[in-house]
Amino acid sequence: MIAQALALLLAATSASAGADEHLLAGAQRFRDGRFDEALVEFRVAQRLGAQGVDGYVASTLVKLGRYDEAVEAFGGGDGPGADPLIDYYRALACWGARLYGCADRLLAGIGDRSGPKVAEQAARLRGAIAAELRREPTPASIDWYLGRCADEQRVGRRALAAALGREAIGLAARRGDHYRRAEAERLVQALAPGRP
Amino acid sequence: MLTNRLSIAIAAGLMLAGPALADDQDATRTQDQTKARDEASAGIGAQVQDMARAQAKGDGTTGIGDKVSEMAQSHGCDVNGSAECKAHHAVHQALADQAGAPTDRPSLPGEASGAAAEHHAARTRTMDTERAALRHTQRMAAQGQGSEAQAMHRGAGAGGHGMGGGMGGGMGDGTQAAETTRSGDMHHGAMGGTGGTGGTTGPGGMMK
Repeated sequence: MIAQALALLLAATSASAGADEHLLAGAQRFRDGRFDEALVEFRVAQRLGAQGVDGYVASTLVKLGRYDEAVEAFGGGDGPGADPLIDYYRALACWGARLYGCADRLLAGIGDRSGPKVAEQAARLRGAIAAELRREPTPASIDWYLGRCADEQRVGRRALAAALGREAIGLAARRGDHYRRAEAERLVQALAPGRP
Repeated sequence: MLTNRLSIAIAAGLMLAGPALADDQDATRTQDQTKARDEASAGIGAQVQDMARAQAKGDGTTGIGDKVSEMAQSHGCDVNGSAECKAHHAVHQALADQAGAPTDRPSLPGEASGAAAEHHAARTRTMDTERAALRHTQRMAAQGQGSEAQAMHRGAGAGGHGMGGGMGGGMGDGTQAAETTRSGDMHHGAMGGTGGTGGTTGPGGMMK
């Protein structure tokens, strides 16, 4: 029985070591631009119990152009996180999913927490977003976000659905008539974490 | 029976108590080490900020990154020697290296704002096609290998649609994958195939 317990402990230790190897392999693939292989490595590391890998998986999805999945993988909320580099990738996920308000908030939060290269890119992207959002948004835009929000809620992608809803709220707030704003707020409240 | 139960209880106790005792013994030592490490690393943020201020804009962007990396190694990974820490550091370095920016312009949906909107619409259509193809492939796979093998054996062209390869990776090589599938099917001379879904164009190099 003690032997079995020791075997279990050994297995746990070797799984942790294996997770580190997969993280390193994922880093190498990511650096080489082999993002599909990096994704597999990070996911294996995740399953072996490596901590803090969710952001790497989501960032790799960004590089693969799978923005909707990336937004879902990054999870709910669009406030700045602890790691500005992960926040930058998260902003790119929002940008790719056409969540420009989300991207802007994240890019604003990066500020001088990152290196000069990312800071410069963040400033440039924020300028482009500001230019696009200068006009008053049309009802058709808000309809699109709310329609997508409902679609994603139906298929169980709650983080993405909430992000789309928040985008609709942000756009509606910039219109004089607050087109469908109350409806968007109800949708987002229903998607809050902990709600069924 | 009783002996077995006792053995199980002892083993469980060992598993639980071992780490707990070890934690107790290490607690004081860890506190001291943490204190020392905190003192050593407290100034990193300030040092990085000083370096960022000192480095003139346009002077190159790699210097600070290298320094930060060195400092992280000397104050983090190398101090505790953790393989996990080093692995995370390697991933961060890779993420930083590949942190490109989008080349397309932002465009709100529902507004006819030119080529960018059309590009997004095309991408959405492509993703819908991909999902349909995936559903079809899964249904085909669920039908099992046996019936497919029989159909191949008869050589009668069992109505396969050549969908699998047509989906490609969704990253711009889908068309080629579909072509490969088509030629493969023709080579085998059995499934016939109707040309698949044509693969996808993928995100088309949105990132630099």
